[in-house]
Amino acid sequence: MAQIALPSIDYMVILQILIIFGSATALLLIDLFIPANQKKITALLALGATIGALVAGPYSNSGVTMANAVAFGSSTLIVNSIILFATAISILFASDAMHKQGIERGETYVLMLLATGGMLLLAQGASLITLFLGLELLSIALYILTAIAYPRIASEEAGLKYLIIGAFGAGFLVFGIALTFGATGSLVLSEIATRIPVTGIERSLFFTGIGLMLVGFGYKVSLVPFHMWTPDVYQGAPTSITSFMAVGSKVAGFIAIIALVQMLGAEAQVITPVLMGIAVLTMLVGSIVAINQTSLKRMLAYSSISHAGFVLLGVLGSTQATGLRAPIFYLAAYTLTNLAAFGVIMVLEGSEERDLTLADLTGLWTRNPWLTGIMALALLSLAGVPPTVGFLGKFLVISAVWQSGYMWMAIIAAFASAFAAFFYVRALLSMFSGTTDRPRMTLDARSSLALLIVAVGIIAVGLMPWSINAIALAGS
Amino acid sequence: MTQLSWFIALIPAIPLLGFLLNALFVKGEKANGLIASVAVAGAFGAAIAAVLGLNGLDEASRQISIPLWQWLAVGKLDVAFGLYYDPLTAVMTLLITGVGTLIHIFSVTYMHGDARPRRYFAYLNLFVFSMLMLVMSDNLLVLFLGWEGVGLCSFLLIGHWFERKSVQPGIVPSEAAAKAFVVNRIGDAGLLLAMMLILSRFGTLSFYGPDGNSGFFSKLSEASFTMVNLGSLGTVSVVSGIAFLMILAVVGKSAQLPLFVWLPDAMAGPTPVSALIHAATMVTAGVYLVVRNHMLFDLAPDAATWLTIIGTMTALIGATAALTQFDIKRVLAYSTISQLGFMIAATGMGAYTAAMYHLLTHGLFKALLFLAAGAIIHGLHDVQDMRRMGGLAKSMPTIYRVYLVGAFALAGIFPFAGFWSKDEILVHGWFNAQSITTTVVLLFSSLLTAFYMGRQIALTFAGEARDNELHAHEHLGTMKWPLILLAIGAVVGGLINLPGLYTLHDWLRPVLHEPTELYTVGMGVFATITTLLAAGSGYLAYRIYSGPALASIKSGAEDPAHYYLGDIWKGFELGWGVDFVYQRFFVRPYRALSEYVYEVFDVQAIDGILVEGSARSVGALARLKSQAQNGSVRTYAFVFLIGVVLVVGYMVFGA
Amino acid sequence: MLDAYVPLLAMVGIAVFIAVFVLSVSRILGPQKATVRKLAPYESGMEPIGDAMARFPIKFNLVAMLFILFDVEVIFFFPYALVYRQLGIPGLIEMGSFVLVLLVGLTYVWKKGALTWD
Repeated sequence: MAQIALPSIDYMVILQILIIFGSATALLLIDLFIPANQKKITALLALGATIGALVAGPYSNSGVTMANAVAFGSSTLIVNSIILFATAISILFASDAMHKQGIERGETYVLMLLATGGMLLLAQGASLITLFLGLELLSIALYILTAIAYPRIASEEAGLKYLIIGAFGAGFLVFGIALTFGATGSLVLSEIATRIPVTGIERSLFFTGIGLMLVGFGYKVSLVPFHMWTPDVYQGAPTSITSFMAVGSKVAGFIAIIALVQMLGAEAQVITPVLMGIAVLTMLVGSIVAINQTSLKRMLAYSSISHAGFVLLGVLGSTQATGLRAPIFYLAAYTLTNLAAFGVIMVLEGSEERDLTLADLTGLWTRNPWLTGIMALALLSLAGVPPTVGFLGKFLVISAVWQSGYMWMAIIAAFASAFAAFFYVRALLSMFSGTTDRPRMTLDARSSLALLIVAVGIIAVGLMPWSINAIALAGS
Repeated sequence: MTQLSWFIALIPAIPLLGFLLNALFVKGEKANGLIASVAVAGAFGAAIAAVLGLNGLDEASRQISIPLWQWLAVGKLDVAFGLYYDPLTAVMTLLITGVGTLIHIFSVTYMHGDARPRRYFAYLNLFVFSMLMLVMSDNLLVLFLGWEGVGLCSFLLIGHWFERKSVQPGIVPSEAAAKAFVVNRIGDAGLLLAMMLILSRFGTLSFYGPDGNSGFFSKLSEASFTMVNLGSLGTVSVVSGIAFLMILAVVGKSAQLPLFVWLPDAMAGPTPVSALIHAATMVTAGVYLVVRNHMLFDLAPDAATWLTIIGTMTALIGATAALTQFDIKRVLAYSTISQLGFMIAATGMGAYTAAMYHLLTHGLFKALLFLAAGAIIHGLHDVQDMRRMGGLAKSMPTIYRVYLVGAFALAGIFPFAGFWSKDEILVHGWFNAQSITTTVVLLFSSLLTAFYMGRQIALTFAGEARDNELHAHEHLGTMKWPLILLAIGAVVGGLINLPGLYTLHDWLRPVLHEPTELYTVGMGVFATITTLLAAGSGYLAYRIYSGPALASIKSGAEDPAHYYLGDIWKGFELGWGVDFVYQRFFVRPYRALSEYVYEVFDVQAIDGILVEGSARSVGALARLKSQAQNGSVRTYAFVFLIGVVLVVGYMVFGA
Repeated sequence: MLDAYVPLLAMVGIAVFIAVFVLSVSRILGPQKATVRKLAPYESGMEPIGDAMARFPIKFNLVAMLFILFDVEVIFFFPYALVYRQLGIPGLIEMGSFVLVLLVGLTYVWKKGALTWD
């Protein structure tokens, strides 16, 4: 009857995850006793939990715990902070917009917290099982969130589509994990790294596993050709949820991909051609198709696809010694910019559930000049015009790719970003031109605050990019 | 910081402040105009003070770096956000703020009664600020910031009158604005890539580095023999590679062949904006970029040759296109393209001082011509077609006089400003570079220049008024003094680098290191011949167009010369069809491709319509909808699966 | 290296063979006389009534889902029951928090009215 030793847990390593999951569980219970018209209390509590987790970041311990399943380090701190920041802003957005649209439910915030927990698990995952667990937690919460406006057909349809494609993707992921485990006999990333088979059928199995895992995470960050759900789901989901999912799940998914690529180490060159092909395809399809869109949310969906290509390029560039700064900075830039763009769209929707088109932006300047300014900033940042944060992200990614020796990729990327500008310019133009008889939109304090934060962020981080690194320094 | 540094820092700071004030706080047309004008005038004052301060230093120490803050410190990349001030920057800031001030003052009357004065003046200040950042940056990344900023402001200002579905002649402002932005972005991609190449080879983007000797310029010569393999395109030296990428940027920004198509359309903006774009800011950025990086082009003779070719061809194409226009501003627009061609050709031949000289004088007289044209348009209530003008010499005497001065200067008639600077370029081409073809083509272009200016003077001012519905009157207000000051500049502007004295040459020597020239008799003879030819050409045009033909020119009529030249004339008129080629071979196929990819990758297109339709009309369509839905998710999964098969296939067989 | 997989391949082969063989043998040798009784759907000897695609209340679905959810969670108790002594106090805490989370879920569905039939 020997004692079975449970793996030791350093709770300070998983501090942020604990806070998020703990408060999600508690909030589920608390929410039951909050009357339906007072759900902003739930939102406030969820916001508090998110900010608490954000603040707890620098106090967490670096290291690996729970039998090598979860890790924490300085780059994790940055990623976690981005995720939690996005969650906080999204909660602010959601509590305003969903209330106006009459689809506010307390579960929304609980599910957002659960999804955030999943993202944090993905970011901190040090074993394949943790990564899978994180992805599933994130996905399941997002399926429900997508469909949470449930009397709306569009929302339900989007949720169902997301679920089907998501299940499809998750299947490949598990299969990939199984193959990798079979070939190396381990699930822990750092152990797998030392056991990559050199020859024989195991090597094929191993890389097939890696490829399938890339597919499994690739659909989540909408890499072409696993991207086709993106426009439908982005369009169908309530806008505040769209912004949350566009930002959070992309950041988390890419962190998982980065973890895989890093695990491969020098062997990453085997999958480089695949990554290259996917990155080019993703950038091109995203920016070419966006031109034909009239729905704003679909346009941002394609734009997010194209940006995913850029991040993947950054990952490619970082397989060399240049480090992960480029993709992580790009993700931060992407987060700020998209939150701003979706936030403005959400405010413009007001209480209507209509899908906004380019024509709805016409004459926005005469209606809401400040809102127009923020949207203009977001569009410029999406197009990569300095001094916004979007420019710097593109610059860092392209220069990382160039310095890794993939010169042609950098050239393609530079021109892809030049052509993509066309679409954003069109949106920009229609905002500043024409007149409209649509009423002026009023902003709730919550949305105003959130929009102000992200707008200032777009400029401030663009001019002072070291502020992102400062987060990392605070933790060390 | 020294006192001088403070003055230097003030130059961009004041317009930025003006922009912020106007954009965020100040309302009311008068206040907007006043703040914007005062801001640029203040910058001009600071620029003068800075030049005087710089002049007080000895030649070797005339380069001042002012680090402001660390912008980027990522790995090897280390970019300080800093200002850099040397004689080259000094003349650029003087031109930008000086001409900029006059344009601002001019705008106060010109834009009176406009629907959005606040936005206009705010953008104008932002434009000046961006341009100042461009020329005052001490590294390429911050230069790029200004470069994009200038592109953005031109986009915003060209589209200022977006509500007008079409200003003359058939250009939609919003489309013109988008065109300018997108064409410029293509050039920008070139600059971005040039930066990447510099960064990866030299590890810095700073021109000279903080101590004046550690930037990438000082490392160029050691890299000039390193070759880059471009695969099937052969090999090229690193320096040439950088230079070629920069040429792409120059071609976009300075409206050279084949990317000049945006500039004629940029006329859609208010006329003072055209003056700003054509004279003081924006298009000069490309010339500045080449001159600033002259060490690079010195080490890349192949790229420099291309600059000459592009510049010469552009000069010719611009001049021929200007011959055929009836829109008063379009003539000037093509003329700018042509004159920029002169400058670019000069830089290609290594005549950097001559290029800068022409840039400065051109800035003066082209601003004059544009503002005068603006005053005409203003006086005629937005008529721009020269066929409807005629006889304006009587009704607009002041404008007539200043326009004549501007035209003489542009045509290169002795002793106006344009004569000296254009002559410098031609002389350099003939005597120093000894490139006969280039010089002959440029000379021919300058004769055409004189010709189209003679034509324009004749059509606009000579004879009697052809359209009596226009109540031509001269109401100048604050527009008067800018015109007169610029006219004085267009007369005496040549003084800054008179042959023999070479003031500008000496001033720029610390930057450009060009050897002192000696004035020879041959140059004098050459100059005499060119000015006589130009005068003859201009007079010929004036005679042709002010003669019997003048009376027969009506709105919508063909040009008299069209009778003789036929389709060639048409070709000139359309700018040699470059725009057409783009429409045909790039814009349309790109749109078609987008459509196609959309259909392949987004079956939801049809579905979306069905779903939306059915959501509205429940019932009959509901069944269709569910079918479409099933189909589309299946398609998604199918495409997904193809991806998986490809990835796995590669992993199994390729790894 | 591939040798290790030979038995696996053999087993797949045998399985396929048996399946095909048995089905074809019964097809070839067995008499096939269709009667109404034989063609009727098999429902544990009951007479089939109506269409199989009948609509039924969503409540069944809900209850079934909740049942499966909690049933699956219960499975975790079986291994725990075997080793709970070895796991000691830490195991008890872990399991306790597991039950706690389950209880929160139960409270939620209860309060939401998912357990009441009407």
